[in-house]
Amino acid sequence: MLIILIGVSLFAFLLSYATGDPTTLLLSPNATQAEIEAFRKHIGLDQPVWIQYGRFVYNILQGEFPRSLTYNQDSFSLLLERLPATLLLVFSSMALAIFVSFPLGLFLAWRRTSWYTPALMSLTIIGYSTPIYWEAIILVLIFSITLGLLPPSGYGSFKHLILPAFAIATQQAALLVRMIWGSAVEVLNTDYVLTVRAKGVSEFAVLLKHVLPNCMIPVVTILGLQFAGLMGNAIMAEVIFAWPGVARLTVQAIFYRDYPLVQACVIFMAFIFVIANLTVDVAYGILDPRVRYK
Amino acid sequence: MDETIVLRKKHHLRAMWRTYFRTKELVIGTILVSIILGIAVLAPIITPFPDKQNLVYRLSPPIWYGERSNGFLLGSDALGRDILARIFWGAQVSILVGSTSVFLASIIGIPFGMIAGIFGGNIDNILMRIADIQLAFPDVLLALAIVATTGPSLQNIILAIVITSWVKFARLSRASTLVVKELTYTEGARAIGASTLHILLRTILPNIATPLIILGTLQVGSAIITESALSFLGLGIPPPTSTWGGMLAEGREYLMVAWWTSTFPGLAIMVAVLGINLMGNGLRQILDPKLNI
Repeated sequence: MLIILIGVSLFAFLLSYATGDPTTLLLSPNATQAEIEAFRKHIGLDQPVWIQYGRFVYNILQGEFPRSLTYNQDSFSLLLERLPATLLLVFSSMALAIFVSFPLGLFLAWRRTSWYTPALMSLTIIGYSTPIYWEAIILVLIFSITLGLLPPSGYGSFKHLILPAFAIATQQAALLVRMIWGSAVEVLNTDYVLTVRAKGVSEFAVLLKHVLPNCMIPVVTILGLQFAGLMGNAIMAEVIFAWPGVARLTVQAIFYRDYPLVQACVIFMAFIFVIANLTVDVAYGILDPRVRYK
Repeated sequence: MDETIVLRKKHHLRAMWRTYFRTKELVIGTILVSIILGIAVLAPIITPFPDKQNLVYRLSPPIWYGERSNGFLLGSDALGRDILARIFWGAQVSILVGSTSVFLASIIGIPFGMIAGIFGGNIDNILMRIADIQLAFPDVLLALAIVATTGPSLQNIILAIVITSWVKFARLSRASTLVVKELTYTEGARAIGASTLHILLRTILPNIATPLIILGTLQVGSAIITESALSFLGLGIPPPTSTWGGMLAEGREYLMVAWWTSTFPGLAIMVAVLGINLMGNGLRQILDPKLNI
């Protein structure tokens, strides 16, 4: 985990170093050479690369993130400002996806031989083959422009949340249904499920108490691996729906070559990723007693 | 003697066809992919001038929608260009980017993964740490940063997609190599004195090819999605080249008045990716049902 964060910091630094000189973008075109030099000195670009990196890491360890060039603010506080919006979006779409996919996946595994199971499973392929930016546009067309029910973009009320959360959730739910289905089908074929059924336990209790806990482990693993994909979708959704979150800030920073802000965003995202993976590890312990007793 | 071999071969071929047609996902996937390939190849013949502008006919609706249509099957865009023609030409870009980037990513990723898998040690450690670091980022973000740095062009977009996806090939081939190198036939090859290179190429590679082929198929789909996402964000192949993502982004500005401008290019992306995913899933069902990518 530590290695990842060190690697990411180096990567973030080199990446923004490679984006080129930000001075030409930030200063007016008729700035004199002396002004350019002064500005370069001001943001530390006149130093050798390794000194810049050393200073960069040192500052971060001191809790001091580089100042954003476009906002002229501490980039960390900028990120914190945008964080609640992103968390709201990601968590509500995850909740929606889990709420839909768990019952559906379990049900389809239970009714594996029904005629509608292959049809619904094919539907999930359509679900994750649809690019989120197109889905978002279609949602806006239907619900905002034609029906006039929901705002096409923005942030503030519950109504603003529905479309972006739904767009992210469909992708996630489609993947989750497939994972849960695959894992639950295996569990349903095990001897212990046969035993539980032979005891006369109701089918509902079999699914909820015996199948669900046992099919969670592979699902959680893949959920952890899919986290970067989820963030990728969140980026697109935030851009399309003008959602004032971390991801949109990152994209803007890349476009404006606001490299201190890009660095902060990249490290921040990696940090979130590390936390997500830690959560997965903790979840193993909760879900699988064997891990706990080791 | 010869006859039995021929018969056996015929039987084998017939069995393969039967398995193919029984896997509906694979059949539908191949049909969709063939359609996309077909329109990409035929684009210059059917619609030689996709960039022909006609401002008089700008934002004409599709021929079957409303009276004001001007003979455009799927309508026209803000510059009066035929959307269907541009979708045809856009297929070329998507297929080119998808196949080239997967080809390059696998050429880089597979040798790295196999070497890490067979030698282990420091090479393995370094490679896997790079992979861990890279997997901490969303593909789109990394590709966006690379293209923003290097400037939007066809080569740079392919480069960005290769950089974001080679890790997946490396990881998968490493994991498969770790399994195969312990098996008795590899041991056998080593026992008769085969060189490491020979073992890598003739013993291990054929035996880890199946999951890699499936991953490669699915990656073509995600490469197409990444390319369109970059175009959509304004960092795609610069105009006037027709790209699906670019058309989607242009059309989005006229969403209020002309829904067809962004609906159909997006539909094309979806159909292409769907076809590829169906093919990948179908292949997995036939070749390696237990595989999870």
